[in-house]
Amino acid sequence: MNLFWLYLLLAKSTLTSFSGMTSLAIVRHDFVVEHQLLTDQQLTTAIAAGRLAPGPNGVYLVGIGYYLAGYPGAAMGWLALITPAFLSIPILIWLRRHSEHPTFRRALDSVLLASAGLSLASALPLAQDAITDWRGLLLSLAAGAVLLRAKVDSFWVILGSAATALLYSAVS
Amino acid sequence: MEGPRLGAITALFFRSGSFTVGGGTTIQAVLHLELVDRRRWLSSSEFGLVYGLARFTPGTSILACSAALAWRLGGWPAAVAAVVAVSLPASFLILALLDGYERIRALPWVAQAISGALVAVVALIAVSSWRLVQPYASRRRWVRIVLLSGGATAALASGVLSPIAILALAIVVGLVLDRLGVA
Repeated sequence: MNLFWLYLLLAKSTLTSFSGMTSLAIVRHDFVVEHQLLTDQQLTTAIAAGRLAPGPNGVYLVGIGYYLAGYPGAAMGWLALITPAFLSIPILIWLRRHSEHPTFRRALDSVLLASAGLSLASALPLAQDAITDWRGLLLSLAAGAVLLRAKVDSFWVILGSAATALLYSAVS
Repeated sequence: MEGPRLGAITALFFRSGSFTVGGGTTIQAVLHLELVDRRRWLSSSEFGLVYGLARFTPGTSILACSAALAWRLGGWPAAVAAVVAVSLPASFLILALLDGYERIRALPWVAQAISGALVAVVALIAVSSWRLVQPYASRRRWVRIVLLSGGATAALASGVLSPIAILALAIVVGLVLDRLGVA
């Protein structure tokens, strides 16, 4: 795989998203749907690994790069992750002057609302792959309820869900 | 007054990225504690302004925030050092996790544990989508939320448009809604 092409595709996802996980929609569209280089299972595993590691949420892109092209691919994922951060300094200077402009704020609100929809749409095929029976559905709903209601870090919810599945298979 | 040394800035961001689980919110809390409360390198209002504006820049917000905070402290060398320090340890850990996972994935108990973890990831993505909508959620704004968030979900799920085309269309629809006076 051409590493520069990989970097460009991953950077496209980070440069057009506005929070760690909203890049997911573009990553899935490019690598799972369009080019079929990645499976939904690999995508979900990379996200899980990203949430179990410390640091920023978007770091799952390193795992995507690793699945696509080994360690050099992981390096491309990391570069794509950090590239927008350096563009942020001139953007921040500009935003400091214009962030109160109503049209600008409204446009940004629209992007954020649409990003939420894109993120949710990306979760649907992942759910089809991960939730295969009523126990999976129950566990997913319970994890969602805990994430929504309790101030528990997602790290512990993922670990708890894994432990519950393990416990169930041990006793059944 | 002379600013903090590059090594001290790098070490601080390295610690913030290496020993905090929970993503950007936790890192931000640690950085605020260290930069504002303990070391007094930045004022609380300056930190708050940078953190708030970083949410409006592309990419992972906490990396943009780290770059901008470090840039305020020591210019471009500090910004580069901070972004590398906050993101690299987690990247190595992810590689170790995935490498280890590929070696042991065939074991039945590992497969069970991973399947449990994956259903939680699905819930996590759904909840993080809701968290993006939550600040806008009110009865007055339901038309905007249904059209922009619901429309984006439907357009991507049906494969009609690419994500970037959907984001561009959302800006246009948002501006049209403004013209029509929709909240």
